[in-house]
Amino acid sequence: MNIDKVRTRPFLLLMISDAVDSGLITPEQMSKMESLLVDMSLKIAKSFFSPVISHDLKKSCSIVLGVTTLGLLKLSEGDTLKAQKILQEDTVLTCFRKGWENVDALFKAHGPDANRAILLTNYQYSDNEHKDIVSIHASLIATQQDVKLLKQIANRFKNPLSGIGSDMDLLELDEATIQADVQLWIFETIMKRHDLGHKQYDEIKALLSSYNDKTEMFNDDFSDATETIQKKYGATISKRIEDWLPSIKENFHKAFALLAFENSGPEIYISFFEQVLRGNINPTHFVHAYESLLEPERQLYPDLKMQIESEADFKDLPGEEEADLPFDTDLISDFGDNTVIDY
Amino acid sequence: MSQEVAILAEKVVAITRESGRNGGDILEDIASAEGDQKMIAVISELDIMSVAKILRDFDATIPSIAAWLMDPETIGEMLDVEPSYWENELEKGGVTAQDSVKSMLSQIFLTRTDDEERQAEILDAINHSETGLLYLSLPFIGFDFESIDFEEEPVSGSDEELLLMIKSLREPIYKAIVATSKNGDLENIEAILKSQANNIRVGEISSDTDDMFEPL
Repeated sequence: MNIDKVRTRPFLLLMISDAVDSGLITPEQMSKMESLLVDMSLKIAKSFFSPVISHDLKKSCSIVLGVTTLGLLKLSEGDTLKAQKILQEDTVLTCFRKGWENVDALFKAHGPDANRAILLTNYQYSDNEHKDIVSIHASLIATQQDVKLLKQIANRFKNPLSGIGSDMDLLELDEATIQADVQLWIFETIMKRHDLGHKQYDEIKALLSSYNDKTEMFNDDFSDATETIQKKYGATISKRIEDWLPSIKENFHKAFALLAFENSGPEIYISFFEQVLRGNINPTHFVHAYESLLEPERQLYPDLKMQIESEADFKDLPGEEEADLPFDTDLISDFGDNTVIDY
Repeated sequence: MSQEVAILAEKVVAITRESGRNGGDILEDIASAEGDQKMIAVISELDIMSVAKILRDFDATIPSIAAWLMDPETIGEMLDVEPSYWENELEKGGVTAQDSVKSMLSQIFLTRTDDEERQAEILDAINHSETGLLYLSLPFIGFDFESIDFEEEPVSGSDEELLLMIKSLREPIYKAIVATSKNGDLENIEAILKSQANNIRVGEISSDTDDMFEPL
């Protein structure tokens, strides 16, 4: 090994050139290895890209370099002597297959419909690069597993009060929305503990007001509620949610502080849930509270008012009057059902 | 083969590597300066991938004269490998595989309609290859065959014009195309054509790579 040799190259190329320099690999073995690498690149190109488009060929070579390097690093655990021995006794194909085992795990994590050609491009490695392909792979897997975990959490904590429809593609959900649903779950757990139903506005108002005055009391209830998450949903989910808890707690305190406690119970109820869900409420579940609002308070929720009233109008419409309407009611009521308040 | 033809062919291949359009223009220059026979001689020296690349850069509005002068068998072979040029999902932008095939077929069948016998031979040559029928059917997947008006003159350059041209040349091939494109799945057929073309292009590769995608 020459000290002055440029060492910032992919591990595979470095190990090959070291092995050639030290005579471990003969020129004949070397040329065999080269033609094998070419064939492997062609096979990647024809299986995933195109063997006639030049940037596809280049991409395929880089992928072979990346996956083979990954495999060699895994097989040798970064030990240079071991790596050279593997290259000498096995072939680069063995290294590639070890790398492919990892790539395959990423494919599986993404499911059968994923575009494998696109996933593969993450493993491109050029010959003057010195990035850490092992940690690149680890983070690709970790990211995908986190996406799956988040989807699972979103599913478990899905709540009808939240404005996100259950039919909506979960891919669209962002972490903040899922966190809001978890916050909602925590509050409903606290409500259950205090034996409160959703229509007990005044009791809920009193509870929130006392939380605002006595932080300790809230903290205790909050801890009690969050402890049940692990019992109910297991360690993996509760571990992931744990990171959100400080921010959820802070959101609660902010919500308490923002409530105008001189307002009526129903108003406190609506505005509290609006804050927890960041405005993203499902209006049909707030009709009961809206109807109990004092008349002036209704002005505070023009969107909710519009939504609820338009639905009520069409529900109450007597059959014979429909004929007199100057517009197509089917069309309007279809529209009404699908309207979601856009904040 | 004369040395001159060999040199010209080499030049066309080199230029085509950069741009199929420029490669086609050089062929036309050869034809106008030295005659169609010389150009045909040069084309027969080109590799099939270069020919495909050249024709892809022309269409029915600006056809390459290469498409008019090539023999039917070469056209059939060329269309077998053409799918290798289809871009991947991410890069293809506006041009889909369907567009690409439509453009190739229109160039071949709709720009020079005075020689029906030759057109029919080309159709036979395409249909003769293993995946030829799939290639011919690809542009018409999703096409509403009920909408064809056999009385009216079809709009120039339309899918309908291409279909009716095929029908007038070889009715059985037309019927097979209708059946295939009605039942065929676009993604599957695209994948088959591409894989077939890529295999022709790459040819035999070392059997050592047989188990390449088997995890260790």
